[in-house]
Amino acid sequence: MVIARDFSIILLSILLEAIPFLLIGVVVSAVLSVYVSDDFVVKWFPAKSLAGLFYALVMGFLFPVCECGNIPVARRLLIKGVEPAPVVTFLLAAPVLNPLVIIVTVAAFPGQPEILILRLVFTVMISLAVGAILFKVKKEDIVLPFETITGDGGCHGEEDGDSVSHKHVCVRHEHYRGLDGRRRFMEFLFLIRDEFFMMLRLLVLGTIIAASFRTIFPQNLVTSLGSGQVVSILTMMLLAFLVSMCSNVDAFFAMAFAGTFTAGSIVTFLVFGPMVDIKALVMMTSAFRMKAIIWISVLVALMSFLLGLLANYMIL
Amino acid sequence: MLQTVWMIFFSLFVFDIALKDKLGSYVNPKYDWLVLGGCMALFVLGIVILVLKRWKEEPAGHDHGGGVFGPVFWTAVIYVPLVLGLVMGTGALSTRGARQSRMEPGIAPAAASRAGGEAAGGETSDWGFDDWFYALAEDPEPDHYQGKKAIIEGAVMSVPEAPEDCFILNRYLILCCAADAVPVGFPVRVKEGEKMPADDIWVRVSGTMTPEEINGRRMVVLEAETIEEVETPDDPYIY
Repeated sequence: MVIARDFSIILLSILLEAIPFLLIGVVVSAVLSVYVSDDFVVKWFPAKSLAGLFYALVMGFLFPVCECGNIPVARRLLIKGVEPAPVVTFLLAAPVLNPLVIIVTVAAFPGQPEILILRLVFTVMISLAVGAILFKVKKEDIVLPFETITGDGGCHGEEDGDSVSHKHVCVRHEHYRGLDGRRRFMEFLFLIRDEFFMMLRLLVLGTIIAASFRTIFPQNLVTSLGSGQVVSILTMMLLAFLVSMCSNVDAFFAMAFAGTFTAGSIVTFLVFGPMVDIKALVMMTSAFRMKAIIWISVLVALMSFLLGLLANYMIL
Repeated sequence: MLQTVWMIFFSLFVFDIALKDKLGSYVNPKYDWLVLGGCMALFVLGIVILVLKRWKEEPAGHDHGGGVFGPVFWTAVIYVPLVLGLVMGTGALSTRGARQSRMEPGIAPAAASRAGGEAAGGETSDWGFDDWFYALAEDPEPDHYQGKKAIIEGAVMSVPEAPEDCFILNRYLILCCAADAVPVGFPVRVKEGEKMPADDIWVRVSGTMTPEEINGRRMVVLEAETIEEVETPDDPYIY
């Protein structure tokens, strides 16, 4: 009974904090989908220069949607002829480098500015480093053949009925362009509902895991897992990959581990999760070769791990 | 349909908690406006969508699928917190987690920068738990509290490392919500011959602060004169 009560309190406390931010993120994403064209991102993106890497970072602020909303933009950039390197930098950095994620991280970790600062700095470092490495790789080894990317105009990664599919991301501005104002507004409301529940179910599932860690699992075991410099980072990376939580609210999940897990592992979760998780990988298959996705994931994982260790030494 | 209904039910559930003044069991009160604003938006959205579905045809192409687990599974998942919340009701986190992880009650590091309480000196009998907590964070020297009167409410937490006649009067410090709770507390010495209260019972302890060394650490111990059981307060944590 005591365990169930504690479980319920922790589960609800995270949800109560996260739901308003989830809703804000979904509304912003729906406004961008229905009323704003993503042309401005695609149009000005430098096609073939290192400057594209830095432009990719700035775009995160101007196009504040989480990882799910960025995949269609990335596809359009590739169709436009932008090099894969800056597109990957954009994909890796944009989910974290946006105003809502920054606000949420501050709210979840008040009085701990180092968590936000390291999250931003490490995200920039990893996304730039992966982008720079990909400049050395042939384009055809990274992206799918042009006709595959352009073929269905949508996201074939979502057609396989995967549990974390995000059908909505394929339905973007062009779909709504011909609709009258009232019909468009209805689409806008229903899109908010669909996106909200798509994200909410992952949020609830992740929160159930977080609450289990705090209540059902033996706390001495969790504490020993969380206090190990290396084990804590690996545990949080595994959780980030499996939980696949939206970057708009993942800080609230991480917060539940802050008392028992090392600061470096918390930062690693916040950096690694938005870049590499089940959901993001499935979506990336709509534009990138599997081999490239695996290499990008391995690179990100290695860098996140090492930077997490560094954070542990910096913060302790 | 069940999803839209969830929006309305969940918001009503949260409004009910707020009306009972129990939101403090879940989140730091400084975020109340955010929680209530979010639920208000959710409620309005749910109602509008229900009305639209009643009078207008829903636009085609909206995804109701649930992938490999199916929509029933995901609908059940989102109802878990709602059902649990209704069944378990509100309350404060128990001391179970703190006891299991052997978190040592004391002044949390986060408190140091937030310490705003009066330091030792003057009348202390009307200080609450948080006043004592912040005062000790600001001035941790136990000798400065010698003989001070205290009436403090908290939850009983037994700690194996403490002397046999002592328990910890515990509360949690929460910065954002109950998920980041850190236990903080004062050792309380029960009067000779008095029964030790059970874990997790909320008590009001009246007594005198005394400096003492326990397990090699100097700290203030509250020598209890009376211990009475009380209801769990609406704001059971330190924020």
